[in-house]
Amino acid sequence: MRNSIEWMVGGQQGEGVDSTGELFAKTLVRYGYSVSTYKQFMSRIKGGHTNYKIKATKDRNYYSGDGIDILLCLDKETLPNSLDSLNEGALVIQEGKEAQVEGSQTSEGTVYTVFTVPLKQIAKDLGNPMSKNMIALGVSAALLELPIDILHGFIEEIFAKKGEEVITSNKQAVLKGYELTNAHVTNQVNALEVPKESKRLFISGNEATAFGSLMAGCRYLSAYPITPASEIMEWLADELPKVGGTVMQVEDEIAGLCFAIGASYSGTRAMTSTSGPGLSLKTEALGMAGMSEVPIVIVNSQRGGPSTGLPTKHEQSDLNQMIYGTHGEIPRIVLYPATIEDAFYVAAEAFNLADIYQCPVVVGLDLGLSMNKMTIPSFDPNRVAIDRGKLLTNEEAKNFNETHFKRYRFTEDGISPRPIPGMPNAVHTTSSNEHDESGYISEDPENRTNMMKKRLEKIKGAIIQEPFKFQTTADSSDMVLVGMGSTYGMIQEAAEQLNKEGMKVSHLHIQQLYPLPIDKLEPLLQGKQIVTVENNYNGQLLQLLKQNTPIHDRAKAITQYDGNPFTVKSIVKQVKELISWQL
Amino acid sequence: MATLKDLRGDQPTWCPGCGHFSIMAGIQKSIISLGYEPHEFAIISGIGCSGKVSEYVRTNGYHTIHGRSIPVAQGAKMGNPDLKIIASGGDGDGYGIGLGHFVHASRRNIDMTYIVMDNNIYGLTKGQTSPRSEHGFVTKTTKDGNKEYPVDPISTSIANGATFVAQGFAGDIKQMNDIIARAIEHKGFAHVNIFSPCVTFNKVNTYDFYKEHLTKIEKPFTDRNEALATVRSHQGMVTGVLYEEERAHYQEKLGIDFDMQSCVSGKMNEELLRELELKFQ
Repeated sequence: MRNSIEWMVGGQQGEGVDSTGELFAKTLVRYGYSVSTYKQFMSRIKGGHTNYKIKATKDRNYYSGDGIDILLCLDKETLPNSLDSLNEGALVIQEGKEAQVEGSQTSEGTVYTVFTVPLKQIAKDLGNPMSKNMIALGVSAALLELPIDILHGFIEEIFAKKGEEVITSNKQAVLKGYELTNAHVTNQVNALEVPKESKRLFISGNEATAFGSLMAGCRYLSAYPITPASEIMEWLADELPKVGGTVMQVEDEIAGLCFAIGASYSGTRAMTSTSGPGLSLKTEALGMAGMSEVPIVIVNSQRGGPSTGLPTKHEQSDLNQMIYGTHGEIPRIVLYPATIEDAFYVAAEAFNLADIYQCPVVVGLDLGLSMNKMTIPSFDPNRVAIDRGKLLTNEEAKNFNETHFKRYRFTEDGISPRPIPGMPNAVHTTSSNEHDESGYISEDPENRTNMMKKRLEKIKGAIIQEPFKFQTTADSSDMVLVGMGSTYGMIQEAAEQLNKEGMKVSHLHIQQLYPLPIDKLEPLLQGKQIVTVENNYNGQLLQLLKQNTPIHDRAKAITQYDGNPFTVKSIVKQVKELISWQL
Repeated sequence: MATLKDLRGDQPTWCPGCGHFSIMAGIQKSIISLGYEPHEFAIISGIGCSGKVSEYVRTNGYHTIHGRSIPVAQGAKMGNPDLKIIASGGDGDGYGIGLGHFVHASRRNIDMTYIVMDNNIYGLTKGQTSPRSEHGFVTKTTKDGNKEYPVDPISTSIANGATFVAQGFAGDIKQMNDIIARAIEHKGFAHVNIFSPCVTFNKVNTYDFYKEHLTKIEKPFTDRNEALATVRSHQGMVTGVLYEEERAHYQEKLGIDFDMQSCVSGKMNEELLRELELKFQ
């Protein structure tokens, strides 16, 4: 019996690699295991190697794993590309003329078994050449002794519209897979332990972000399609109309933000979603939202930059753009959820902060977080309550008794009561020019100084419920590994491994990047060696920490910017190198 | 009922004689004559001399950034379908930096009015060539004369699907006010280009120039080809409502029972949360 499995399917784009991976992940989820996935793909519709990695464990996990126990090869590139990742005793399933089993070894000495199966021929014999991936899934499921009913159930759901014949042939294909396993590789069968009972969701970071936004009352999204953020728009396009809202795909990235700002100005909770190139185009409008004090949520799912860069690869290099992008100085809040589950709550809180502080809130994601799925607990509706800040009703606005409502009234906390255009007693002016309290253009130096202070100081107290996550060993640690976004799972596992080997390492994952809650972070960093783990060249997170706290003599960054996520192995190796460097 | 006094906002700073004064008055008078109150409108403007109109007419106003009045205005209409929306800008704002949005707004047909104060020059930056400047026009940036040819805005909106296209002249107040009022009442994207002489920097396209060259079109065409042919045969020097069509506007076509504004402080909707979670189980 085993309580975890690492599985991967690889093949050419367009031959069902993604749907095969997704189906096996869902099978494991339905069985009751916790699953994390990672999709590798290229910026084309057909052709090019792609793969789908899964790690399933009885207990909750946060990372799709370094290794592979079962590898399903649908093309010739899969095996050579994955040799380094094979775990000892791995089973490789590949296409071939006739069924046979043989042992093999990698150059590193890892022993594995190759199970050759005539998938195409068997599928053809079944009268459904498309069912070859189902045979392979049947082999995979049988190796783990998963109940065949799970896959059969999915087949009935997926092919419901295609008719009985397609359903039957696919079910037979799965059954054939079980038979092949029992006939040729019974010695490789290692059943998954019975899972724990709990109600869970299997969801991507993009979906969790969109879901959290809808639950926070967002009713409008305008955006332009861009990898890896498009799923946010697509999910909301299905769901928003059912609750009286809508999604608009507009003409360009600039319009994507400007439409959303317009909708928010007129009273609706609104957002846009984009990736780095889009955020570059949006920065002038971002400044407008800051200057005119219109709440807005901008989701930026990062990919490999700069320019068009690596459009389908993972990177975390927009930190500086999210925090500093736009001319002049504006109030803003920058959040970056650590996990898919956090993405839901952070998105919901982003709308609250935007309304409370009347400023843009950037929610950073990255490709690893956006496009991959994880098993997470059911969401808690009581964790984040909707808070619209100083948004007025018409009756409240009427009490001010002003012919022209002062939209930019000076107040103690710098936040002005905000009416909505259309209210009979609150005609008001909103402006991206420097303005006085009434919203009219003003170049008066004293007014300018006061307005700048009002805008830039009002966000000082902004803080989310969980501005960072911190895990430490029982006694105090010597080193803090600091990360953001989708590196959460790898850093956590790396820290666990390092601690097991006798080092004293803790893990800090920052969810609120700006304003950085430095008073809360400083005690955690004091006297410790600081190592940021981040997917960019310059170590942007390290730079941010150095700007805010005196750690210059004891801080370094582990960086990776090749388009791929870290592995636990590479983090552990580099941390050890840093320790020996210091000695 | 609102009076002109109710609709006066900040003190205008345009040059004496600027065509924009008449356009501002035209917007104010149209709101009054149609029986609306100031709070029912939002005027969303871009950057340039024209951009200041959102502060000078006392309705709700949003002075945005250069070239982006149309996308912000369309978003405002989406966010609050009951608001009457006027977007406004100049020829540089709308036909230069913001031209892309104008074409897409024309084909999208959201219910709003877009008024362009067209003076064929960049005035607020003190006299550079505009996308509406004539070939050969001499400015600080085209000292040997403009080598390009001007954008044809009304042909553009007609060709791209706008459901109301008109052109006015700030020197013909009666006709212009009538056009603005009709544009506001039109259900769909109404594009109004208004010749608005810049008395300081444009010594070619003057009030007298327009009086001499403009031809009035009395009745709107309902056929786009006929409208286009007429505009082209007069080199764009026509005034009046040129094209008008009754067609369901964007929000009607969506067929959504909009509920955009009901989000209030309080608990998350647990029932909805559990219902949506089923998609991920």
